[in-house]
Amino acid sequence: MEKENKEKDIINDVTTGEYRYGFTTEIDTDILPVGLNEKVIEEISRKKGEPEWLLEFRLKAYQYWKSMEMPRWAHLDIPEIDYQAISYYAAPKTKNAPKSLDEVDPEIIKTFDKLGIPLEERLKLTGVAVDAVMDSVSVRTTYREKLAELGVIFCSFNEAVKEYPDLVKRYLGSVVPYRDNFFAALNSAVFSDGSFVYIPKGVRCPMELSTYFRINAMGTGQFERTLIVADEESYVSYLEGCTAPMRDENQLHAAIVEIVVNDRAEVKYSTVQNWFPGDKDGKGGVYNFVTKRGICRDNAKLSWTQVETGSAITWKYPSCILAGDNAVGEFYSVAVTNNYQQADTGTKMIHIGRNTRSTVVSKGISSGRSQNSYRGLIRVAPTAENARNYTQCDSLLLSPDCGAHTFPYIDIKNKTAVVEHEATTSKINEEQIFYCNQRGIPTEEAIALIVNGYAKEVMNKLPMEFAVEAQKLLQISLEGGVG
Amino acid sequence: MGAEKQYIELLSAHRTLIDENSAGQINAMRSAAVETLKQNGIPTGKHEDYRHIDMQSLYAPDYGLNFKRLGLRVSGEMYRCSVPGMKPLTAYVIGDVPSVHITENKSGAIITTIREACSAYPEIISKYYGRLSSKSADGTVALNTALAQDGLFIHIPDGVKMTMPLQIVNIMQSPEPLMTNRRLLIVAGRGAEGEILVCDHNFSAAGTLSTQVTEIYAEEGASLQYYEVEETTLKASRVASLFAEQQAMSRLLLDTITLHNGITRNNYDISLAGEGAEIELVGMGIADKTQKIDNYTRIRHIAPRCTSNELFKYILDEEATAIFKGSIIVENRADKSVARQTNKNISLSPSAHVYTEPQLEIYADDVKCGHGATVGQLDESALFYLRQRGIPEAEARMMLMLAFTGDIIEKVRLAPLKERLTYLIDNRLRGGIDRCEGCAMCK
Amino acid sequence: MLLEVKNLRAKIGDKEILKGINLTVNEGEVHAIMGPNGSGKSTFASVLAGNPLYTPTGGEVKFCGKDLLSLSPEDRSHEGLFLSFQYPVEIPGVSMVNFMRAALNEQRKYRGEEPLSATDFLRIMREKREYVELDNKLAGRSVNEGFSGGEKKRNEIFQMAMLQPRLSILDETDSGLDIDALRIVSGGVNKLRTDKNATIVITHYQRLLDYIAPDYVHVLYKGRIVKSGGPELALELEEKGYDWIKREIDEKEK
Repeated sequence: MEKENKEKDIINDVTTGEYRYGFTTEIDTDILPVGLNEKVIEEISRKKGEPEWLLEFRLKAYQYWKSMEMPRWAHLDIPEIDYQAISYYAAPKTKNAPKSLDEVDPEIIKTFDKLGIPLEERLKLTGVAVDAVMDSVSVRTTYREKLAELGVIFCSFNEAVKEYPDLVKRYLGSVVPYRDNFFAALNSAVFSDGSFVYIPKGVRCPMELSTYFRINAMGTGQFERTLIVADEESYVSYLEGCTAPMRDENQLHAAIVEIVVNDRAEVKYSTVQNWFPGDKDGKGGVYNFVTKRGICRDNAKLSWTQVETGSAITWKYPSCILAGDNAVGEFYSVAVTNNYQQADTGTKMIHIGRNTRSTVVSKGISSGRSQNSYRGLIRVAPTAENARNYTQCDSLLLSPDCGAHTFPYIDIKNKTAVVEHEATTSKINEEQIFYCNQRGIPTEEAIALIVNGYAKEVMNKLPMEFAVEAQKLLQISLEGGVG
Repeated sequence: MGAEKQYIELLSAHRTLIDENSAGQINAMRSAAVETLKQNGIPTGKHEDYRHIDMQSLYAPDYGLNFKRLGLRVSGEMYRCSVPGMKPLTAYVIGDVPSVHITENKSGAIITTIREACSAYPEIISKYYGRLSSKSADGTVALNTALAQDGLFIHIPDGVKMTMPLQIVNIMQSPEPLMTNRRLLIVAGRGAEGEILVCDHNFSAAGTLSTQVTEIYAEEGASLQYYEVEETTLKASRVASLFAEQQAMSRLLLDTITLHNGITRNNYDISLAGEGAEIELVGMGIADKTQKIDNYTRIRHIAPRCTSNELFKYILDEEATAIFKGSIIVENRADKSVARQTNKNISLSPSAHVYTEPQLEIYADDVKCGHGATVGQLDESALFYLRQRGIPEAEARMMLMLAFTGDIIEKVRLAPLKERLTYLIDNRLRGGIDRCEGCAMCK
Repeated sequence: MLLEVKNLRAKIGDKEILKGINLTVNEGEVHAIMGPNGSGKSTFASVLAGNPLYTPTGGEVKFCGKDLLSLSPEDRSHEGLFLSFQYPVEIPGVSMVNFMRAALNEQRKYRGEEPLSATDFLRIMREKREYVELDNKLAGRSVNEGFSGGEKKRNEIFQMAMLQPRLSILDETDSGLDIDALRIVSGGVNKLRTDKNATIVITHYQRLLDYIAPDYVHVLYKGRIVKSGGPELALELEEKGYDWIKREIDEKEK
């Protein structure tokens, strides 16, 4: 008992680790009044100078959304959300799509600098091209010219609509139709900006592409949309990071990511999600409702890696539709919840093509009074001869009042399928802690070591630049939650 | 209102007749059950726990019900659902009319009908009957409680160890579509021990629906083995719910085997309420043609230091469907809980479907819980190994299928039953339906 | 003549592994097939036994005058072909006793003989176990489940003793064995040798051939038998390795 208390004390001592990204930026912001109706949607579309077909798409989505109810099946306690009390458009007051860095508000540059996101194309950081999205609009995309030489398109969604309307029209809603679910319909109606990526046939994108999302304005929601099209035999690795200021009220984030992976192409999509999780009493924090899905054609591969540490509520299931023969889908996830956070996250692997393979590795870490659920669907359609799936999902419990839950759904309609699911839930191993103690490693270090080791299989899948950040994040997220 | 409507109307039209042919506590539960039924209805396909079998259409037909309790008394000579080597006490339930005529009961347990027990042991009946089942929000359970008129009551008093097993033979035999609503109440007192085997048979030409609600109360230190073997027909539907509440250090083995059936839905709802309780929940199903087997289990770890071990296996062929949904819930402060849940399936046909949802919900931190589910085929390398040693392919497949069921058989502790089940499963896998020797019904 | 292999070709998936093998084995002979890793030794054994993973694409195999390739794996076994697996398969839930009784009685059925009585069967089990000093306890367990490497190989030879094949193919039976197990296993094989049966020993090393003396030694490389000789060839390989043969063949191919 005494030892336990001591452990708690030690952990409490190092709990001063506050949410690091909780500052706000003082800039002029163009905000639409709160509320959602046809007029608002028309206004968003007008502000963005969108073509008629896109406005129609939005309005259809809005009509459909009005007929829907918010889903309640997840293991989440979601407070009533007043969708009329949210502003659906907020933009830093600068001209859209600055041509050079000089045109970007210096405050914004400072913001992203503080976050460690370079908007300048510094030589030493040539590894990553960034599209920075603040509130509703993209403020700057780096390295565009260099990528353009290879035919790679990397720009804000808004620009893509203007410059590559055919591509956008062809693929928008092709993987996540607006009818898909409540939040997808909402996003389709009001999405403001996001990133667009097109990798032409046979091109290996030479640098990591990255979008950094930041909610800044108060009382707004963020509704971005990412569309990635990897044409035949191409390759791209894409990173996504997110932060928000600390605010007492809850902020709504409902995003869509659509990925098209054509024959023999490969896409790696990595996320480090660190929206404001609320304070230690559960006040504030981002409600994060995200629909992410990709479709894989013949011999294509889509790999999702996510490190989820933020948000008060997380509702997201990055999925793969393995439509082509020999397609491969992967999902690697670390989800950490602390204090009063709630996460319901996992994946769907839909096997349609022959010889399709999928791997799911999910590591949940719960602490404080949080609830952390894995929810995953493995479906093998009658057409999916020789489909294989392996799922491993582990939950680690760090405190007596947290919850860890596992909800797999396995639907098999083809007899040649081989599907394996294994899950474990356990407390952090005291023998391991003692072993570390005996070798002179203090308990808090030991816990960090053990948790890092536990998450390693997933962390290893992250690109180098992200892995270090993610590891630090993991440690900070758990502070104060270990009991 | 859906399929429940006709039953609610039927009940209000015949309430007097139903009550007259039943007794005290059973009648006392009816009105509340009807309210639950009205509120929740028979589950539809939208119900999260009933997604794969259409319960509404199961309850839709215009079944006859035996409210007047017309029963035939049967003799043990007539139905011999025999397990060679086992000398059990036997009770029969014909349709839903229980019939106990054990001439000499040296087992130490009280075995009688619930109706008789209402007058003979009113305090026990009012303490236990419907206590667990009435908490359920499930419309199928409420419907059974609303319509049930009788059932079997087994009481093993404190400290009594039954000297011989009890076999309960359920028999359905009806030329017309018939619905039966069976009840079973088992109370094992402190330190009591017993073994109960329930066999489910059906010889009806017409479609039947039998519903069953079983309540098992295992008091402190009680130890109970409960085996169910279903061998019915393609036209038979079964909706059964078993509730068990276990007090400290009690041990329960629940074993459910579906050898042949039509549509079967079994619910198992286990509460580990006392410290150190242990449950072993084991099930298997063999299904072909258009058979459907749906086992839904929920084990709640409420007290600390409880252990649950769950294993379900299915072998599927042709158009069969198998569903397994199991939740293990470890409540806050149920520390030192150990829970293991496994579901394994072999699918032999392109049109067979398997749905499996093994779920863990953990609200305590000092636990060891795990689950696993697999869907696959017979091991090709093992198959080749057997054939290389001269065992023909069909026989080799049979051996591997039998081996797949081996760990289920191993859980059976009654040696004669173990042997009998091995034989029955072998026979079933070879396409046979068992016929008991010398049994009037099976001829 | 027991076995006659003519220009045998086979593939796994789309990959051709055997590219025309010729081999003749007579009663009473022991043939060793050696060769570097990946040369097709185990494939050859698997194809002869009829492993469905491999597809023969050409050539023919006569076994006791019958067209071997047209027989099912079980009938090849009934005809007297036995494969000692390089990796014996674990079969949980199938007891050794049931397994062996099924195998033996199927063989008897094929020959038109009555099944053995339980007592006779158990007596034979007991007798044959002694060939390889196999523990009674192992016989009570599931097939190969939880057996050590050495026990698995002894179990293979025990089964060979039970089934009394005309042709035994020992696929890398020496791999993973310590010197004592090697002695026991090869001792069992030698006791089972008669002038009516024959053995093909597939091995990477000379070591096993110290115990089971071959009459002929063949070198398999790139899916063909590229060299044949007497026992002295094995010794030469032991001394010089495979590289000189590889070079010889690779040069010829150029």
